[in-house]
Amino acid sequence: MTERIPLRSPDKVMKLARMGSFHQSRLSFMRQLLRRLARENWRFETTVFDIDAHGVGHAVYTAHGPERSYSLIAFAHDLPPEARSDRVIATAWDATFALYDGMPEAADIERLRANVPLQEEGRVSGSELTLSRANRSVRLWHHVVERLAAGQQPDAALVDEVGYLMRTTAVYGSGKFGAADREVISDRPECHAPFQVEMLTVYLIRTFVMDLVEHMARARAPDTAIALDPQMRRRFGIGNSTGLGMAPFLVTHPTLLHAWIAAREDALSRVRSLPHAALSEAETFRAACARARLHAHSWHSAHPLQIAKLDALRADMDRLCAKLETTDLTGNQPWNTLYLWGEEALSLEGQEMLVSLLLEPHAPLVDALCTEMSADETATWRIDGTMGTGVLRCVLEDVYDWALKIDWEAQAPQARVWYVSENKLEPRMGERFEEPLEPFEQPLCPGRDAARLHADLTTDEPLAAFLLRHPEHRHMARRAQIAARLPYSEIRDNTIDAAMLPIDMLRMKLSFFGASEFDPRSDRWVRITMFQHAPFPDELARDTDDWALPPLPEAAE
Amino acid sequence: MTYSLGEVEALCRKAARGAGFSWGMADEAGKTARWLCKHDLPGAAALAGYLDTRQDACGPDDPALPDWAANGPLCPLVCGTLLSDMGARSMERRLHNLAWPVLLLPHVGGDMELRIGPDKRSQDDPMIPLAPLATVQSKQDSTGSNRPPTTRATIATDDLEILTRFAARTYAPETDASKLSGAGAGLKDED
Repeated sequence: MTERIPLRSPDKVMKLARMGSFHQSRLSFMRQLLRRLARENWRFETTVFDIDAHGVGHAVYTAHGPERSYSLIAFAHDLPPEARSDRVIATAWDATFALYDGMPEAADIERLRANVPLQEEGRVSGSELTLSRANRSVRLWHHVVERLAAGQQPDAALVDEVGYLMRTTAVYGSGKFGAADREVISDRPECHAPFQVEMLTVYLIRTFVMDLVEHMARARAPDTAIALDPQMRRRFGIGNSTGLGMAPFLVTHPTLLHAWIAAREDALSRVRSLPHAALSEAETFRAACARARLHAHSWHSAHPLQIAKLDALRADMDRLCAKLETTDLTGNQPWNTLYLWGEEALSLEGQEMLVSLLLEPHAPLVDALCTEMSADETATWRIDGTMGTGVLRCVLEDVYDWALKIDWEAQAPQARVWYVSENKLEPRMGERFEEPLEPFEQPLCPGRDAARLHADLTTDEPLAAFLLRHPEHRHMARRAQIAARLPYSEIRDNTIDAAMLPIDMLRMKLSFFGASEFDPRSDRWVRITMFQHAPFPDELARDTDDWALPPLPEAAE
Repeated sequence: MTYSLGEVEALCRKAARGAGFSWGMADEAGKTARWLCKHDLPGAAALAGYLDTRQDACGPDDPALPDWAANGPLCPLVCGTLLSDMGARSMERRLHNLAWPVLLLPHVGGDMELRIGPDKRSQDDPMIPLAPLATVQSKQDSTGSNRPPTTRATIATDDLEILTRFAARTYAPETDASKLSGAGAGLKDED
């Protein structure tokens, strides 16, 4: 009998430094989406492309699934350079989008034309599933248009350096600004996994953007313009610029967070528990490692924190590839042996990359876990008020022991305040002891709140009676009860510490989306690339799920 | 114009917080309004009405008693969450001077019902601001006309104004410093 390797402990996994080192994997939502589109033979068509020589107009891209169709409605604008901003306070964009649930009529297009370009200032309806916008990478856009117009392919080095022609600055779903709630679509098979309509939106945006850039080149020089070479085309992803707005999600959706992390940890445990490595799996793994090494060396960032992490990751990947030269993966539980080696030999970036790589050759074992990555949050919502306060105290001492050790009287552990600003109503983070923000604090600091609750649990009584007197602890009591059942539901780190890096929270969530090329622009704002190297709709059938790492030079021939 | 249920929940949660409820209770208020709207009942209107007039409504003096009462009206959100916390769905309760009884309804289990008079259920007259006596009791008639769930909500202008006004109290005023540092930007956006 081979031993089943247990799942990694939440005390190890749920630390911000480690979560901020996660990478995309087989379980990522983008990869789940493309596997489904290919498996179910989804059909794609561009039903409208009505865009003038200045790049102004609209287009409709429809994806037809086995039961339903979804349409990206894209509005292209001629944006003056001074209006181009990734900030959430921006009011104009190069392109704006909505994903329509079905195939739109002319009246829908007109309704959306009056609203979608306004983004947060407009309204969409229950017929729309997402609302999004994107800005050009001006430098690369001009380069590609000029080259194609002149009959030449763009410079591959420049394409790789930027990675995208447009970057989205928000993809709103789930009931935002009037769109349909998630519960309207959650029982559809294609929407069961998290964020599938958001990922489909971005995937269709990518196709639209490539069509648009070729259209602009043709408009400029109809006689000489050429299309992008298919292999060159694949090098373009869609960028995304993400700020703090995404970070609170991980704290406000503990049940879902657990589902994501538990699936990934279960997958790792399954692979580590395998008694032997099949020859083909070992080969797939070695190839993936070589590609991950290439990826680490081509990943750019200008941020000092990420530069240091990338230096470590490159050394890690060199070390891993060297290790594989001398490792035959034939011993007992060879994947576990390799994982344990990684824990000793690699940085957190490298360790978590190794986790993703270990999942790569094991589709049957891993992909089945995709169905467990959504969560019925209503099922864990109710507080069990019959629980004794003594039991709750034990839960807190178990799950939040790290928080109970913190001196919450000191300034540094509570230096930050999460709040929502009057302008744009977006989550932000400020300095508690420098700005008058405390009255507006959002409940996004479970560590401190657990310590406060623990301190007030001085009598033995049913929790319901305690909460009747102490409603200020209600949100924390609920979290603790959820965490007692779902160990990966809580970030086990201080989310208001002076040294906390919000980009770690963003990175964790974006890695589950399937993003790559994390490039922090500050401690609270990150650029990423989505769907880079992914097959386009007409390429889906022949190249389904082998795109998330860049191809090796010889494989690209 | 209609609203998504997510919008109703988010607005009502913020409004309850702005009106002075704890965050945990504000979560309950948001869920309460959403549940009512989903069942085609005026959840946002009832919460707006309650927040605008509630003053000193509170929980029962002694929740162990079958009769719940306080020195003033009973808060439907506090009483509703208390019923839910206690798992009291199989227990009957008489609530004296219950404000906006319809807001208690989402917390009453499927085998129970909330009556605000001998012949009247709370959902029959959802805009009653105060019931002298409301009873949580076993369902008398399982063929009740439960309305089918809906996915959209409407909010009247007056109610929207009230909820938005309370919700605004949760937003920090913008300062020049926070504008630049809070969202973490300030760098040039071009690449």
